[in-house]
Amino acid sequence: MAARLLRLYIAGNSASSRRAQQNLERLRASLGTHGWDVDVIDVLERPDLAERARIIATPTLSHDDTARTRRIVGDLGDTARVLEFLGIDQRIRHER
Amino acid sequence: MMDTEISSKIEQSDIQFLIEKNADGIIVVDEGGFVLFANPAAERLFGQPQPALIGSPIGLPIVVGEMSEIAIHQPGGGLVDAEIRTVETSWEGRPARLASVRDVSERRAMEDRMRHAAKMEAVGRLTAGIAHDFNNLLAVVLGNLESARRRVGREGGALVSMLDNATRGAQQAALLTSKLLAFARRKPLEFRRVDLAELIAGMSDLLQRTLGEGIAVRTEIPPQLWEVEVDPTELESAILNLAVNARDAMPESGLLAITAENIELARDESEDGSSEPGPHVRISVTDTGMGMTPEILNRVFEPFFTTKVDGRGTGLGLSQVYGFVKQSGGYLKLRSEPNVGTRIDIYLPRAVVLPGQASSRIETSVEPKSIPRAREGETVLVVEDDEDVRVTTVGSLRELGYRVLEAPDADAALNLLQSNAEIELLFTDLGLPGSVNGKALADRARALRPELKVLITTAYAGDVLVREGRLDPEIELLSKPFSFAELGIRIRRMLESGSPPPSRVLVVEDECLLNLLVTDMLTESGFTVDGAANFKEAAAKARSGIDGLVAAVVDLGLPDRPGDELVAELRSLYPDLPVVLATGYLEEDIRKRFSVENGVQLLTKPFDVEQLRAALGRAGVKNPRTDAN
Repeated sequence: MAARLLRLYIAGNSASSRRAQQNLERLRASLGTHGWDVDVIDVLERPDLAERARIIATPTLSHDDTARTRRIVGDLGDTARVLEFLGIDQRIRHER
Repeated sequence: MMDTEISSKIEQSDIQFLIEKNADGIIVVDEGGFVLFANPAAERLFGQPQPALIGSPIGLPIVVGEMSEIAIHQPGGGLVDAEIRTVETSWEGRPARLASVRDVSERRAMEDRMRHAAKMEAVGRLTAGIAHDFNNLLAVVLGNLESARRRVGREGGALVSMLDNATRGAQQAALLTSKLLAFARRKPLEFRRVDLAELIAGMSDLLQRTLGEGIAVRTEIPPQLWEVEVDPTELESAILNLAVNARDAMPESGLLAITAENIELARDESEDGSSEPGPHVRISVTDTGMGMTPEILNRVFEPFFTTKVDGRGTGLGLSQVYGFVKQSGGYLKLRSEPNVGTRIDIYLPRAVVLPGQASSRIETSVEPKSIPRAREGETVLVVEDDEDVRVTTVGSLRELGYRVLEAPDADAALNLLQSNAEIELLFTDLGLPGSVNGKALADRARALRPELKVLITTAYAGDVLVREGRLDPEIELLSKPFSFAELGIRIRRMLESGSPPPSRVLVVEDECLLNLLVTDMLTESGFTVDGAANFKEAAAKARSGIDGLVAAVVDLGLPDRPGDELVAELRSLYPDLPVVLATGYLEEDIRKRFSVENGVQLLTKPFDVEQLRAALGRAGVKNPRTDAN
C-alpha cells in the first residue's frame, strides 16, 4: 500500500503554527511511522501551493484522500478528535 | 421576563439582524469542512464576498477548550490573527458547526509591543545596576591611577606610560558605563533649550568626516522649527550614532538625509503609549542602505545587539538613542526595508515657551592647564559609604590642599556639620546607607547652614534627583567616576561662586570717572558690575546674554543714542529689568521730555552710595549684602 499523505499548512513561526507542528509530531509518533508521510507547508513561503489547495486559514491539516479531501482547522490539540476525523481506527492503532 | 418568553418574542428577522450586525465573523461549516453560511463580518475577515466563501473548503474547525488561535489568509496575501470558537449544531437538517471568528490582530500587536517594552525595561534595570557598580569601582581605579601618576612624576619613564595606558583604559570603561546608563535612562541629563538648526549645522563638518566621501549628506531644517528641551550633548551623540549606522549600512555609497519638522500630534502615537499628544519636533534620519529584516528590527535597541562584524560596533549606538529619547519625554519610530533603506524618526516634545527665555548656546568646556588648589584653611566634608571611593576622594582633596573631614553616612555627617563651623562645602554621594540619602542630607545640611555649598556625586541619577527624568536645577552634580582634575575644578568653582549667585548690574556711563565711581559704589554694595560706555556697547553685551543680571544703571545722556532708548532695548531683552536712569536734569523735566517706562527709577546727579542703593531698592533690586541671609 502506498504511503498516505498528510499536509500541514502553517504560517511562518507564529505560536499556533508551532503548536500545530508539535501536536502533529505527537500524533505521528502515536500512529507509528508505517504508512504515513507528513508534509509541512509554510504558506508564507509557498503561497502558490496554498492557493492551489484553497487554504484560507492556518493551521490546517489536510488529508488528501483519493475519494475526497478531509480538512481540520486548529492547532490539532485534540488528538482523538483529529484521528477520528481522519478516519483512522484507534483500535488498530492500539494493536500495533 | 423569562428566557422562554424572550425567545418566543424574537422574530426571525430580528435574529437575521443580530447575525448581520455582529462584530464577530460567523460561519457555518458542514461535517466535510465546507462553508455553508457566512455573515458580513466574516466576509470582511476572510476578505471574500459571501458567494465566494460559501462552498470554500476551510476545513472542520476543531477547538480544544475555549478557543483556538488561527491565522486567516485573505486573497492577495493579507494575514489576520483570529480567535475561533465553535458549537455543534445542525444546518438544514444535517450536523454542522457554527464558528465565531474574532479579529485579534490589533490586540496581538499591542501585546507584542507591551512585551517588548517590558523586556527593554528589564534589560534597562539590569544594565543600570551593573553600570552603577562599575562606576564606583572605576572611581577607585581612576583616582588611584592618577594619584600614582602624579607621585611617579617625570622620572618614571616606562612606568609613566604604563600608568597612562591604564588610565586610558579606565576612561574608556567609564565611557562605556556612561553609554549603558544612557540606555537605561539613568544618566543625569542637563536639559537646555536647543535650537536644532544651529545644533545640526554645527555638526555638518563632523558628519561629513564621519561618513566619508561616498555618502552624500542632505539636511533640511526649516527656519521656523520649534525649540526642544534636551541635553544637547546627548542629542549630538544620538544623531552621530544614527549617522554611523547609516554609513555602515551603505558601504559603497548612498544618501543620508537629516530632516526635521514641526508636528502636532492629536494623540499619543508612541508604540508603548508612553508619550503625550501635543506639539512635537520630528527629526528624521534616513539612509539608502541595506535595511533590516523585521527580526533584527525587533532587537536593535537591546544593548550589545549588533549586526556589525569584527568589533566594528559596540551594540550601544541605538541603545543610547533609545534611552536618550525616552528620558527626554519623546519616542522613536523605526522603519526599514531590506535593500531599500532605513528611516528613524525621533519625536521630541516642543519646549514650553516662557517669555524672555532665550535658547542657550552649547557650551564648550575649557580644560584649564593646571588644577586649581585650595585656599588656606578651606574645609570640605566628604560623605561616602564606599570606603575605597572615600579614601580616594579624600586623598585627592587633601592633595589639592583642602582640609577634609569624612563621614560614612548622613548621621555622622550631620554631627560633623554641627560641631565644625568651618566646613564650607559638603561633597556627598547620593546613595547612602540608612533612611537619609544624599539629597535629603543636602536639604538638612542647608537647613542648618544656608550658606553651605553642596555637591552631590552619583554613579547614576536615581529617582531622588531626577524629577520626571530631569535633574533638579538646584543640585550641583558630579557624575562618577570623576577625574582628579574634574573634582578639583568643580570644587574650586563652587567655593568661588558667590552664594546666592552673582548679582550683576550693567552700568552704562560715558564719563570714565563717573563710571568708575558708580562701579565702586556697586561693588562695595556687593554687586558684580558689567560696564559699558555707550548705547552700542551696552546693547551688544545685553544681546549676548548677561548671567545673573539684576539691574542696570544707565546715564540718560549717552554719546551715540539717548539713554531712554537703551532702557527700551534692555527691557525687550530682559522684561521687567529694574533700571535706574541717572541724569543731570531735574526729574520733572525728564518726565516731560523723555519717555520713562514704568519701574524705571530716576536718579539725579550727583548722588552718593546711599542714594544709589535707595534708587535700586525702589526699582525692586535686593541688596546682596544686606538681604542675603
